[in-house]
Amino acid sequence: MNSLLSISVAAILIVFALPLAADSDVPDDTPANEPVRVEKDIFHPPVRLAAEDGVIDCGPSWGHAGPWVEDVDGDGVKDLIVGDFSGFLRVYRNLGTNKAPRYAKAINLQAGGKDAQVPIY
Amino acid sequence: MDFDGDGILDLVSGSYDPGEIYLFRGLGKGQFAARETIVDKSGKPILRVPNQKERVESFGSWMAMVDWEDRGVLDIVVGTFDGMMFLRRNEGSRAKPAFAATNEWVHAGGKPLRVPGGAHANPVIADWDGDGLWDIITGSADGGVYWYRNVGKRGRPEFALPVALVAKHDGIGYSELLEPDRDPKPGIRSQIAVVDYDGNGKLDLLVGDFCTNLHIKKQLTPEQRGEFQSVRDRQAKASKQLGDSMGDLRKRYDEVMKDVPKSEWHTPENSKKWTQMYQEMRTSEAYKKHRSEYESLQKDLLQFVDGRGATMRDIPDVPHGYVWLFRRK
Repeated sequence: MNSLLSISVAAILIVFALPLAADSDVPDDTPANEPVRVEKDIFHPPVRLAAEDGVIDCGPSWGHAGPWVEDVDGDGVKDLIVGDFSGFLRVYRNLGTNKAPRYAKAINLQAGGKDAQVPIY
Repeated sequence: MDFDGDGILDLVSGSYDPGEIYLFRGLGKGQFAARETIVDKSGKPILRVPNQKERVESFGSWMAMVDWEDRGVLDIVVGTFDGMMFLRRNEGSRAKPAFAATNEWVHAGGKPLRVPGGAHANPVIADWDGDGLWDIITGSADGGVYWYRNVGKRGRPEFALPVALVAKHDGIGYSELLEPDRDPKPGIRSQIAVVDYDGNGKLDLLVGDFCTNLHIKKQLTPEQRGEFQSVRDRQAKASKQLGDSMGDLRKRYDEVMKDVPKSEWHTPENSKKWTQMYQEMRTSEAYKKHRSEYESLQKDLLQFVDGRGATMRDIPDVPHGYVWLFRRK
C-alpha cells in the first residue's frame, strides 16, 4: 500500500505541478461558474452509508469514493457500487430491500475472471 | 448503464491516469467481460485532448451517457479534471455506437461550463426538478454538488448557470482536525449518484468524498493541546514556504514560456524544461531545509493524534472516503 500511495502522491504532484495546456479548441482560461444560489433545507442531515462490517470508508485506498446504485446481480434489489483510488470497484450486495437497503461486506466486482479495475496511474 | 441497448446491465467508468473511459460489458447476473477502452469512430480513445502530446493533458475523466438530441441513441458526456464537460455525439446506432472524433464543449448560461471549484466535473444525468427535461448534476473538487438545469427543449438541451444543491466543503480537505467521538462532515472531491434512494418518489443524492483527518487523541491535557497547536502553527509556516517555492517556480516557468502557445507546452522539449526547473527547485538547499522541517513536524504531531488507519508511516493524517446519503425532504 505504501508504494501504491507514494505513486499516487507522485501522480497528484505531477498533475498539480504541470500547468494544464491543451489543443486550441479546449476553452482555456475558462473561469469556473459561480452558483446562482445555494439550496437550503432541502435535505435531511447527511448520514454515512454502512455495510455489515461498519461505516463504508475507502480511506485505506486513499479515499475518493465514487458511489453508484444498480441491481448488479439481477436479484431484483439495487446494490451499491463504490469506486475508489485503488481503481477497484467494490460491490456491496443489498441483502435488504430497495426501500430499506442492508449491505453485505464489499467484494470486488469481477470482469473477465478477475477483479475489475480501471487504471489510476 | 446499458451501453449498447441489449437489455443487459453494463458498467462504464472514467479514470484518473490516463483519463480514458472504459466499458465492462455485462454478461448478465452480475458477470462482466474484461475491460475495454471506449473509442471514437476512428478507433482512438475518447480524451480531453484528442491529439495530446502527453498523457497528463487528459488526466481525470468521469462519464455519463444521455440521448442528447432525443434521437434514440446514447451520446457520451465526459467531465474533465479541470471541471469542464464535453460531448461526443453518437453517429452510429443504439446497438452499434460510433462516437464523434472531436469534442464539443458544453455551455451553461452562455459560457463554457466549468463547475464551481474549477475541477473534477463528474456529470450525472437526472431530471432533478421533474419538469420532463433531463438535467446535469455534478460533484466538484470543492465538495459541492451542482445542478445545471436544462432550460432548453426536448432534443435541444441548454443549461442555466448552476444551483448548489450541497454547499462546498468548508476547508481544504487535508489534515482537518477531528475531535474524539465527533462525526466528520462531508469532505472534498464529491463524486455523486442521483437516485430515489428510499423509494419515496423524490430524487436523493449519494455523495462520495475524500478527506484526511488528524484524529485528536482523547484526554489531551490543556498543556498538550497548547503544544499540539504550536506544532501545527510551525507546520503551517513550513507548508507555506513549500507552497511559495512552488508558486515561484510556476511564475518563472510562465515567464520562460511567455512566447510559446499553450498548445505547445507539452511537447517533449518543453516538458523537459519544466522537469528540469522542478528538479532544480526540489534539490535546492532552501527547499530541502523546509521539506525536512515539515517532515520532522509531521512526526511530532504523531504523539497528539490517533494515527490508526494512516496509510503511510510517520504521517499523522488518516485518509477517508465515505458515501454520504443526502435524503431529500
